[in-house]
Amino acid sequence: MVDSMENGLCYVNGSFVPASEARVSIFDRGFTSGEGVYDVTRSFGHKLFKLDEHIARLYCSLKYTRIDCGMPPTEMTRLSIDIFERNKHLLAPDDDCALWQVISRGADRFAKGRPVAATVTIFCVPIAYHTFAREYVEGCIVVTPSTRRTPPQSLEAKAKITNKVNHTIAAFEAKLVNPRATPLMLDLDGNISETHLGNFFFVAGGKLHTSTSRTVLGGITRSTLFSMAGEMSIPVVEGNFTPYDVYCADEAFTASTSPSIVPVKSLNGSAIGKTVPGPSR
Amino acid sequence: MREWEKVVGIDFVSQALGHIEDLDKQSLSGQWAKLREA
Repeated sequence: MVDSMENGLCYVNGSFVPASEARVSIFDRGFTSGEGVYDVTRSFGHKLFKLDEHIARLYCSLKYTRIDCGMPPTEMTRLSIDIFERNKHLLAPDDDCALWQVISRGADRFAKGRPVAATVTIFCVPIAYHTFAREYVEGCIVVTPSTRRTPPQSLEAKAKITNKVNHTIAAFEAKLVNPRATPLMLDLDGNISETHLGNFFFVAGGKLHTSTSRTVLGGITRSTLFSMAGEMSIPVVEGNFTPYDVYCADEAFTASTSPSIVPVKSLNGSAIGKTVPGPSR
Repeated sequence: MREWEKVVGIDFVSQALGHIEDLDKQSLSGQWAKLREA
């Protein structure tokens, strides 16, 4: 970034304010109870990638959590583009950013009853390249933590909810094994679900494999990969897979918004496919 | 990864490698260049 995004503008409940001056109530349910949803769209070459798809997913998350953000998707899209455009001058020519929409149920009124209006924020943040750049070359070290992905009977994984404690605990566990490890969470039946940041894929027998949508976020990168595979006549298999299937795979990778595609070097210490990842993999 | 580059329109790997600390940047960018040539 040429300058810090802290000097950029963000949207908070109908107002455009410098990010450093943005304020949300300490009584907000998003803060006190983790009752909120969010979505993140990345720019590539200063252009937002698949914003409409991210906004559509955001509104599915809102519907599931029964939060009314008080505006239609078209207005959320318009405001999001506006915020991005107002912050784009902070980007260096070779840089990009992530555009977030974070919406909570709103501030509690205690004796007066439930929150009456959601808290709606839109802002840009720098991309944390340093957290994943090395892995493009060296491959991602993946381990399966003991913490399982919350089952959909308890909380729907398809919804992008601000409470990330399930993922964070899994990440802490993985980093006790290796400080650079990424957690690959299993579901309650021992099937592969997702990492703390995105979806997981592996290639075996010339087919692209990934978890069923039942216990994972409906990733935009994931759905884009499905389309790409279709265009390249690569079969996609969604199913219940265990670590065994990955150990025997030809290659594996993670898929998420900011890093996009990251090759996997190993799972639980077992090398996956070729030792060194490459651009064509 | 090459196909993803086409979809997003930029060399997203080189971009990321260009934003990390200098010592790692040179080493990793060199490795990445060799991988691309391979």
